[in-house]
Amino acid sequence: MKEPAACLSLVCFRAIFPKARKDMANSFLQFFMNLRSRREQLRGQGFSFKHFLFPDTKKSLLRALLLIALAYAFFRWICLPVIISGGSMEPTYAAHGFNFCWRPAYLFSSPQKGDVVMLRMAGQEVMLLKRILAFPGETVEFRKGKLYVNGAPVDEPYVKSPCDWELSPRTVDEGKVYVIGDNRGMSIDGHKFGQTEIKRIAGKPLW
Amino acid sequence: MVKRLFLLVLILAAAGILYWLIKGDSDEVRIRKSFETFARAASKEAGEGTTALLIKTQTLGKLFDEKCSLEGTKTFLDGNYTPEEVTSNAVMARKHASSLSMRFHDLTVNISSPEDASARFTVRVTGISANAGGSFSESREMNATLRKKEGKWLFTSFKVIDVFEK
Repeated sequence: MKEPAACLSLVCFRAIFPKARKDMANSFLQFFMNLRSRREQLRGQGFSFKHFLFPDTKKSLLRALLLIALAYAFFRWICLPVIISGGSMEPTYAAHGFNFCWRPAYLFSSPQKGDVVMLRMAGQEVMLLKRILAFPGETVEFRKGKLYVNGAPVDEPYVKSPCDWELSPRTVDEGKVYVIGDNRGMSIDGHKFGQTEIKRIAGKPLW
Repeated sequence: MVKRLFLLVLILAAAGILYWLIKGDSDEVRIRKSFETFARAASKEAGEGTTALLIKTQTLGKLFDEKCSLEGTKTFLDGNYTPEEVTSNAVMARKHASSLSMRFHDLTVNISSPEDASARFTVRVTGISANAGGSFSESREMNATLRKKEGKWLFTSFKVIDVFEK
């Protein structure tokens, strides 16, 4: 006579896999019965799954709380999850994409030309994603959609859309960097770019 | 063990109530509530009726001082507004959007005197245009000043901060 638990497991198996053959159902039942007998054997040896998973309830609770606190701190101040809204960095970063802002990116190094960075506005809840193209003292201009820094054309393989921007030469002020999005297909008036304070750089996207 | 847990919960509850009594109705909390009311009143849900429109725009007008200035947009919107002008402009603006959401982020409040305060924040406006049907999304960093009159904090100015200089 089969045990109720074994019958129930067989019923569940049949419900999930209605087209399974009878020998497969019998194999599953045998596997289930083996698990039960193994569990009874371990119990006889003084082993409990509950104690295996939670050897010490108080310590487990403390560990769980610590893990929650560490995870909160990590994702709140070190690696911020972000959703990209807007298409100014397409096709490099698609609108509605997901990423993380890696805050320690410039802890031991400085931003480099070509780096994609996240710029904070009033805080970290809303940030802007742009690419650094010029540093203090350098001159930036656009001629027929082509970027020139210090009079020399810049190779930009990440720019995929045609561009017709015209921008007279301007020098980047001290303490600032010149940032632009990769989507040059937008109108120059509709695209937010320009020199911004270097202290606004909050970090880099993780990928 | 159970007694200790019960005592701990009691202490935490008492601390929470004490904190709420001290900080719950402070000027900073009131200012933050003004911003929340502003965001709610400025937002528009799809299919919103005329009654909701009137209530929201009236609520919006009551948040502003007799004269409130807006500067930094570099458009025709810069200027001084009375609460009635704010209300009528809000009605006009809502006609151009079938849905609109306004949210304030990273709000920091500085109370310089018992009757004056300033706030810095990022405002994000998203929505769907009623004319073209396309979506729009704009974010601006702004400074605002408020003045306390008859116990209420009223907006007196808004200024857009340029993040980029082309």
